[in-house]
Amino acid sequence: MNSTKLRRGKSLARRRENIAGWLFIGLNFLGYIAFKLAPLVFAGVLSFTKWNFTSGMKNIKWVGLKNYMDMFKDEAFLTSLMNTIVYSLIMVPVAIFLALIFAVILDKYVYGKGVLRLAFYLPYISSMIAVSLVWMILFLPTNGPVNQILTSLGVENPPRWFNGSSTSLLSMAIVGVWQRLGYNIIIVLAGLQGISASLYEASDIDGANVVQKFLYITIPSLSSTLFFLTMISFINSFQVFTPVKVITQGGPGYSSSVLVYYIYQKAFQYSELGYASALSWVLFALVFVFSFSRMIVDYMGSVKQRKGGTK
Amino acid sequence: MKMGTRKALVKAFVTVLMTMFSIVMIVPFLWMISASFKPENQIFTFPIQWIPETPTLQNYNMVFNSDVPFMTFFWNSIKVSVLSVAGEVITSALAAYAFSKIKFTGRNLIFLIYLSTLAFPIQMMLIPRFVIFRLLGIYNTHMALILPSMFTAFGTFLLKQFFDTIPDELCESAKIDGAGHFSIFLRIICPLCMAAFSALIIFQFVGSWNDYEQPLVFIREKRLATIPLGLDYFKTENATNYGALMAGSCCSLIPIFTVFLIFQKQFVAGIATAGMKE
Amino acid sequence: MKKVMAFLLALSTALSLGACGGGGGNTQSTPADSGSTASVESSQDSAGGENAEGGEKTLRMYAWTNEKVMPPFVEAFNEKYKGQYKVEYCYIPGADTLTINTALASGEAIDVMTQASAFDMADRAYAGTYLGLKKFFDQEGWTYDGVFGSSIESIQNLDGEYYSLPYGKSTQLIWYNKAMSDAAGVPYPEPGWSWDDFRSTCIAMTSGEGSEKVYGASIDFDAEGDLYWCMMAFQEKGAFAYYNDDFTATAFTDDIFKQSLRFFSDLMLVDKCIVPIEEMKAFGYTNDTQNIIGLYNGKFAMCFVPDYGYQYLEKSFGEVPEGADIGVVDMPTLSGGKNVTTCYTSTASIPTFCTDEQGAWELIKFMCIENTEYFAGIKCMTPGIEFESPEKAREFYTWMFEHTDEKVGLDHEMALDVLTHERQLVSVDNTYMPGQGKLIEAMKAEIALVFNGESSVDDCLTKLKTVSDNAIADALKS
Repeated sequence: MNSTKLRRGKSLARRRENIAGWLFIGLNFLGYIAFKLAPLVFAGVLSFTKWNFTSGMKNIKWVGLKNYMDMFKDEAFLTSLMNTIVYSLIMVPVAIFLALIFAVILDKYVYGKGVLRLAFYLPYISSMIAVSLVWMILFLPTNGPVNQILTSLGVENPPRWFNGSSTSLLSMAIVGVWQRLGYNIIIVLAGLQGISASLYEASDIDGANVVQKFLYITIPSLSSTLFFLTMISFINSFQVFTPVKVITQGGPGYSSSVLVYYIYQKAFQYSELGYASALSWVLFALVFVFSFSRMIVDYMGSVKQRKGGTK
Repeated sequence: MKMGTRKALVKAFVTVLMTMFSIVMIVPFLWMISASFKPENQIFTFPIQWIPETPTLQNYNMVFNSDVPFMTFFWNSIKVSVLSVAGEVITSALAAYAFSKIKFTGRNLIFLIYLSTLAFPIQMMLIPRFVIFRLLGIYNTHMALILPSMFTAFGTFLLKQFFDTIPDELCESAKIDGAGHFSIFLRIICPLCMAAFSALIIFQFVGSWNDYEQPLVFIREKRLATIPLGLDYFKTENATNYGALMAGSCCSLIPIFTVFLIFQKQFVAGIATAGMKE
Repeated sequence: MKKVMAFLLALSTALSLGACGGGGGNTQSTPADSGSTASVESSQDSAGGENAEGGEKTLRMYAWTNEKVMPPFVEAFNEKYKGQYKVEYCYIPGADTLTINTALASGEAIDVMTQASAFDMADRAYAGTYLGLKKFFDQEGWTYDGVFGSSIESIQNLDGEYYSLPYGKSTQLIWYNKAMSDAAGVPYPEPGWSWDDFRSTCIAMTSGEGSEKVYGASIDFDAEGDLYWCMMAFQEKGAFAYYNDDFTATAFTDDIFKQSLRFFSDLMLVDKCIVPIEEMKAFGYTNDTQNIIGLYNGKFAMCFVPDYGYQYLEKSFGEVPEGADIGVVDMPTLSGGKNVTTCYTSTASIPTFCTDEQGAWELIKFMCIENTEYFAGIKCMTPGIEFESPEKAREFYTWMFEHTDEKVGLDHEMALDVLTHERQLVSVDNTYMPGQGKLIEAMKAEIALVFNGESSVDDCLTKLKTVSDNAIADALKS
């Protein structure tokens, strides 16, 4: 008797939670289906076609799996894929590490926080054309300021930076870090505000120094923020596009060609929309595995647990 | 006292160091300003001339007093960005609360789907969206720019991560006091996450404000153009007019500065934690 | 609690509806402002812009030409076709493939669409977006090559049908800074000169070191349409120089391609007498305006300029230095004594969904054939048509210089003279579609490596041939 009542009460509560949950996400979810999921599915359909979209829906040609088969012998695609992975592996950790340090400093240890924070955020909002021109001039191989300094320091063969096949990707990563830093700093700063002051007070009493506080209080308290930051950073760095388009156009050769830039060229310069859609799905799968592996494992775990529980 | 002065000295030293770093960050920005005051034929002098030899207001004159309606672009950008931001903050906050604090069936699966779509390149959604907007009849309206940015997985994800840091016990005790989800959301969660909201507002505002590709594809008329698209109207045939472009870009940064300076104030230690202690 | 929630939902809905209303309201353009901007209501389904008052049909023409220079065109057309047609000019922001494709797919009424890329034109034509124009030529009693010459005809002929008319052909000439030649005591280049003459002039004009270095010439090898790196191959072989006779493979490993690429890369890497590739980009010379500014500011003594370059000699870009005197000369050739240069076309097409086929034809006929001065001329371009006589050509260019902004520092007489020279024009456009996307992409990547000093001429061209041939074979298979 008593237990059925309890169960009924529980299921009522659960139903209530369900309704509340769906009400809360409802608005976002509907818009999300219309403006994200639907286009995504559409792009999925397009990946099996050849289509010049100026000629209307009736002229869509089905090509089956051709677009997916083609990419494995597309050397330029494979190079771009490799470049994207290397770029992300360099850029993401560096940008997060620097952002952590700078954010902690900008949070507490400087005068004129507002102005300094703005300065770090500026690269993110400056005109890309200005950014690209200034970087190209600064890193000019022959007589740019950077190489002039290097030469005066005794470096004999200073790198060709954006203009050399071996250094162009690294140079793009430097620009990437420089541009991304302000963005990451803001996220860390927001995270820092959630750390209770009492934790630091307690550590003061224990006589902890700055580094210890950073390692044993700040970083663990930021775990949720850092998780978010890492994922978003990987997602974004896998999709790096504008700096490449404006500064190197993927060159010299294919040395700085990244996936989204390659996809963009295919879709909008060579009118291979179907092939570009197929490439996008590969990128999607890649990021999915790369960034969400932890979440997928978590999710699988929770499903298993639930199934085990009902037994 | 002595401790205080030592601390102040260290702080001053760190400030100087950070200022030096920040100079590296603002170099392109300085170039932008400097170029906007130069005649077209002096913009590319090498080595870079930071202070224009013959400063001119001609570029700004071109931006504001030509037949290109820059003020209309400006107003369009404000309208699109503000509505996008407002919409996104509201829908994302509600959804994030559900994902973080309500245990409903399908929660994890939906959240995973949400996140996964972040991985799809936005450029490849242009044409599908274009087709869908034509069907919905909102092609060539500002809604085509506002609607997609109102419902984002990014905003939901960002806010959820911050909501997660608020201990569930806080919500539980409120529940015992008879509070429903909505009042927990409004009275407890939101005030504690102002910093996260500020970050989202800054990102989304800049994202909408600087977006070039979506207006390029979804907007056809000059009078509906936002600033990044509108700057194309300063092009000379087949060539870029850098002076006017930089002058326009400089003007376009003012609202971003404003938004940044207003909302970065939220990143002050203590606001969030003050609420938590109670 | 439910009340608050309902309120919040209502608020956000109201907000979005408000935005929708705002956006929707905006789309209703009033007749008053339809002058130069596109209005959307007239969709391709509607019967076309019939005008109640005079029975004149409105034709809508899309291009990326600055709206400022269009009124004379519009007035002249409306005057000529009074009572029949009038034209409405719609600006599109740039000639990028995406920009033009979205305009075409937007459902707006479009009677004439322009484009700068032959690849895009052919792509759209094969997709069925454009109307075949042969019937209009038959109707007028003209032939395509009779009007536009055989080189352009061979490019525009897509399986026996034509889908666009060239309104302008960007013809490659060399501009030089006379003051610099005078100061260096180097004689001005003469028509009929050879590439060896060009090389020795470049070397003679190069001087200085570091940031003070002055180069013999600036040539933008990065530009996709100009194709300067294989200029010699086109001069010697004519249109479609890339391909073998039956278009089943490319000819990139032929001696003439090697010779051309080696010649230009040696200028850059061995003689160091033309602007290196990294400075071309960093100093903005890849932008036509900045290239010409570099010329009159004495950064280099010569540059390759497509003829529309005249419009960049503008006072509004800042003071042109005192005594600037810019000369124009024909392209050199391999053995000299000939006058052959390359060009690429910008074209106008009629979409299949146009509102009035005959009207659209009258409009492109007006802009591309009969009254070329109003569109090509106003933009300082050589029109696509072949002039009947040198006098006709002179008349056109005289009109052009009179009706456009003053060309500061240009030797007008010389420019007029050179523009009207008899010459053989070779179109570098490519409308042979199989494998072409891959070919363009590979060319962009591989050629830059040679100018970068990272790949040899032979390796580069072998690679380019392999990639292109594979792409062509693949495309022909399916």
